[in-house]
Amino acid sequence: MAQRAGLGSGRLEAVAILLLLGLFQSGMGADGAEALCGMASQARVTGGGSAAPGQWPWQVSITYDGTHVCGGSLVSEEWVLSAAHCFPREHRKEDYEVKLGADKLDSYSTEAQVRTVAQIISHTSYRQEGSQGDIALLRLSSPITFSRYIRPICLPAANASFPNGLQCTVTGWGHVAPSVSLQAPRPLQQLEVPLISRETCNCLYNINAKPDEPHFIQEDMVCAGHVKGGKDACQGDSGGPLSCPVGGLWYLAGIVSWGDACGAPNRPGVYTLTSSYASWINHHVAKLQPRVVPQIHESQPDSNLCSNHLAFNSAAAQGLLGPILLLPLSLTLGFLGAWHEH
Amino acid sequence: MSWRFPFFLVATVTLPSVCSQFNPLSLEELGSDTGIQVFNQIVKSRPHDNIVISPHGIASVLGMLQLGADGRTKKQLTTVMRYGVNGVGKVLKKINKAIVSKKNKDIVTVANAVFVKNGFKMEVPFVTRNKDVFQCEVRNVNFEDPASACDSINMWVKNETRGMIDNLLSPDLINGVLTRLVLVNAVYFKGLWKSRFQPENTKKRTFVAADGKSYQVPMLAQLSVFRCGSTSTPSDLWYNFIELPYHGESISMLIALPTESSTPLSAIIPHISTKTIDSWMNTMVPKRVQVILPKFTAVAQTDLKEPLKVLGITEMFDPSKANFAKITRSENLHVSHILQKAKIEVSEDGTKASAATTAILIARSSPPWFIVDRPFLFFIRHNPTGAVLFMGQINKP
Repeated sequence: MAQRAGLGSGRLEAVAILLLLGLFQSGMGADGAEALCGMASQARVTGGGSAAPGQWPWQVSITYDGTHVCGGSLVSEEWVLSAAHCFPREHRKEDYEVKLGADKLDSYSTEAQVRTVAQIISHTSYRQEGSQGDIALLRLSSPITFSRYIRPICLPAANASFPNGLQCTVTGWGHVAPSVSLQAPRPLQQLEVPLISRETCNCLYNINAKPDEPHFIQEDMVCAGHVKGGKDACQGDSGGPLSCPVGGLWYLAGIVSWGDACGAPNRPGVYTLTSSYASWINHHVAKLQPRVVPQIHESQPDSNLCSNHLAFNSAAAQGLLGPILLLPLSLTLGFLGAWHEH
Repeated sequence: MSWRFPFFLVATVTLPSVCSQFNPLSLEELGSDTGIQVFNQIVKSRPHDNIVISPHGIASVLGMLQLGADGRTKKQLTTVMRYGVNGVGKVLKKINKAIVSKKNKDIVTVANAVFVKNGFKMEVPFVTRNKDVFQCEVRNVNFEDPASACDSINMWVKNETRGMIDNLLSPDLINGVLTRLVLVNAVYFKGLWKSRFQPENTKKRTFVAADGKSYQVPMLAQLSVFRCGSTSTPSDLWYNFIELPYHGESISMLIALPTESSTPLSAIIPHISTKTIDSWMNTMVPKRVQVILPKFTAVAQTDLKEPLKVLGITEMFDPSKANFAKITRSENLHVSHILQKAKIEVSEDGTKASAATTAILIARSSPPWFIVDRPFLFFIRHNPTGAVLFMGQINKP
């Protein structure tokens, strides 16, 4: 998790209490098995930094040959969702382990449990870094007993839509800056990141893009992060959760997948959009039932995040067509800007 | 009886920031192998120093000497080198041209020269063969004025190594009365990394030197795809190696690092030869890896006389036995000094932005680390010929 500055948390503590109320309500309203997902026992701490033990009970650490390589999210007693690129073909399934209920990777805790991996199902459309299908299901060698520190997150249904700008949290034990690893005792890091639409994210990635290094946000991806950079997931966070709160429950809106460097301006983190794989998940594990996400408020356009560059970049990309396209684009922008003010 | 002193010097330089097609590589590998054996001898007496030598430069100088030697002096040279320059002159010439070829993109300059006393008569075949095989030029100097002779040789070396090596010779090494000729080989290398290290990723990190002390030194960092591997010595000590290619793709830096920090470099050095390096090249696989490497400059001047004697090249240093009849028949010559000075600079510079930003290096799984934070060996290898242009041990960057 790369970040340059933390956020103050004073004003946001009030939000935490409201959210807790929501939790209890939905816990009572739904039937027992379903309600188990997406609930954390800790009050929510916002901003970035070390998480409290048990705060993200679905976060798991995946090790290869004893070394942490990726994160993952617990979605049931025996299934973990992670990223396909964490499991290259040449790696043996036997060399992976999943650590659940961990807080500090370097200290021993009685709450933590370790499982080997019985099965890895990587999505067949995953080809290489940045391609579609960066999602994988892991079956634990034996089911886990839930505790205060080990709980599943809710899987969003196929039609789920999380509004742009929703403050979600990415967690992991990844690098704290490019090429800088998290220092011992390696406490779990958390960071609040607002959701950014796919269209706006593509627009951002086109700013100062290098033609020989194309980056494209595919249909099964979503972005989250800060346009000005500085705070982002990084190497070692892959596979881990992008947890979004809706109606008092936490949903696995995204899976950490890729990004250009970490925390660079106009380069938000890119996540696998979990809801687009709801039927794939259900097809492989019938008992994993994605949950309908209540639509609390409409998603607003977020193209203003990239507006300063939209006209300029399209012109550059279109070459000779630039001058012709420039005018209608500026008109559209003017319209959007005016609309936002009201 | 009057003994005459020629002396022979080797100067080498490199200025790097830091796959075989050509196939009489075995010959150049034999040459570089002699250099590696010399390195082995040097580090025995200086296990805690930074050492930088040019195996290719040593092979060139010994090759030039071979052309001038006769009798047992020549036999010793051919035995240690395992080839006779006369028999393989054409191939050697081809190799020497390939090493400095413009196709490399990275600049390699090999400059050989014989500085001769004004009026000293040399055998014509020695001069022409040296010119043909080693592109060696002949220059006249006035050794009677050691200071100015020394200056003009040093100036030539400095020029050929683009300022990297100066003050190779000191005037006290020249004997105004007896010195007849000085043989110099200079190797200059300037390479840009194929994949540049981002300067903003360079940070001070801890390096545990051979003396057991920790030092904070600037280290380069890059996440990229590099070929790497690991192997063990016959006594089962494991070490890792990695290839960092220069932009022209014909020259690479190879780094070897003991897997366990308790394994000293001296335990793996005897195991290393051009054959071992070949086996690394054949077993390495491309991997996404996080490399951490000290940014450093090392310069070392080495007297090659004792190491060469240990390897069995003794007669050429002995005034009563040396036979250089093919350089001249009019006087008895022997080698009084054989020195080499080499310098290496490792920095961020490369041609392309760090591959961490390319489309294939964006995934956020944690890569394996290759952290060079303790004494290591490096090799700068011209891959088409297998020539080891430079090698060294760095105990403290």
